[in-house]
Amino acid sequence: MAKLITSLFVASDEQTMRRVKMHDDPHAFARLVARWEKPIQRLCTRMTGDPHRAEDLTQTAFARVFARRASWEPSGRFSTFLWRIALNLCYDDLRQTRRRGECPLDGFDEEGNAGGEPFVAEELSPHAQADARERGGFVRDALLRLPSPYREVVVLRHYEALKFHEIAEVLDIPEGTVKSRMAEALTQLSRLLKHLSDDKPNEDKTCNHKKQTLELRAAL
Amino acid sequence: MQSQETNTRTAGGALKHPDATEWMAFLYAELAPARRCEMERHLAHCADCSAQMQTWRASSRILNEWRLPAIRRSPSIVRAASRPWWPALKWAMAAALVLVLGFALGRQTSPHGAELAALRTSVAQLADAMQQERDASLSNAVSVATAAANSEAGRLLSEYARVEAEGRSAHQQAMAAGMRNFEARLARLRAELETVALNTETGFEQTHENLTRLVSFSTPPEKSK
Repeated sequence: MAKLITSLFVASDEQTMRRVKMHDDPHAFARLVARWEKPIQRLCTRMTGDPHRAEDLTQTAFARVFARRASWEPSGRFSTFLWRIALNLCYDDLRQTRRRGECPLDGFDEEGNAGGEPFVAEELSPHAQADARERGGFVRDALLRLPSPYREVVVLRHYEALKFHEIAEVLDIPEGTVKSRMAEALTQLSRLLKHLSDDKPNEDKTCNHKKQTLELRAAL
Repeated sequence: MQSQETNTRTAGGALKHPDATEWMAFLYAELAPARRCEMERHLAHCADCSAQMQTWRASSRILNEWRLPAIRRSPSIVRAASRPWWPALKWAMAAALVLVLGFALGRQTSPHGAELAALRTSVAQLADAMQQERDASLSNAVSVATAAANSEAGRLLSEYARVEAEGRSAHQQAMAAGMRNFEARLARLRAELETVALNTETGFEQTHENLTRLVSFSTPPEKSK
């Protein structure tokens, strides 16, 4: 209810973007950035696995939105336009990384952590924090191992909670294809993360983690 | 796996295995409630589908273990957003600088006399061109006005001729009527004159006769006294 009342007084993304397009309104653009910066940065982090690169990609994405404001069609959703731009930037970044001969996991330390470690709740005990960080690192590594068409669907549906039909619109593919890719992605992840599903508390997880990281690097 | 099978009911009424796309809609709660109930019932009775769903649910649950820290707002984006005119202004300033430098350099390197002569020539050419254009436009206007005046004069003359002819014919008719009237009056006058002449002749004869008589009159002799 509160959301509905708020929506009556707050301009929609499309109305705000129209102001940006027609009048180059800097305040309107700042409002769009404030609304969408976090989702876009999360998307870029999940797609590249690196929060620092994600920060740069997010800035580039918004700069590109502003530069291409004239090509935005008011009949379409602003979010679709923005997700597409951000995803394309992520692909460009991944391609460049691959061209340089770098492995997406090269930036990670032995614990599987990139510049920014997987976030864990501070209220956990140190042991539990280490455990959670380790498991988060595994999930990130497994996601990076997924082919991009599967990874983007997982990120948009599971983490950013877009509906399947919205993802289909962003990727410009049939909704059935999106669902099939999601099913295939979950199947591959279950294989990649089997050791996490078979949770064995007494196992030496540090050794296990190192072993898994080495396996991933060998596979990439 | 049963993923490619259809999700329609069989002839016997038993539910066929839903396909993977439908299970994804089920997993992420994007199904209509009625269909969801059907699939839950199917899940309760189908070991294969139940095992598959368990695998997918486990993967989905594990995905939640990669959590991201709170995202800081990037100040540079806000700056860029609040100054969208800055790149354009930068280019405009650069262009202005280049223009000013180019002008100054041109002033320094080119001789003033030649510049002035060129300026004069161009001004004279401009004046000639303006004069020609003005003459051309004037002659054009004059010819147009002459043509208009000619046509107007022709129209007025013909109108005048028509009115004149009408007036003349009316005048002739009036003259004829007057002449007829005059002739009638003249005839009457002649008749009267003839009458007067006759009367006068008669009077003359009487007068002559009277005179004759008067002349021949002699005083009668006086009778004896």
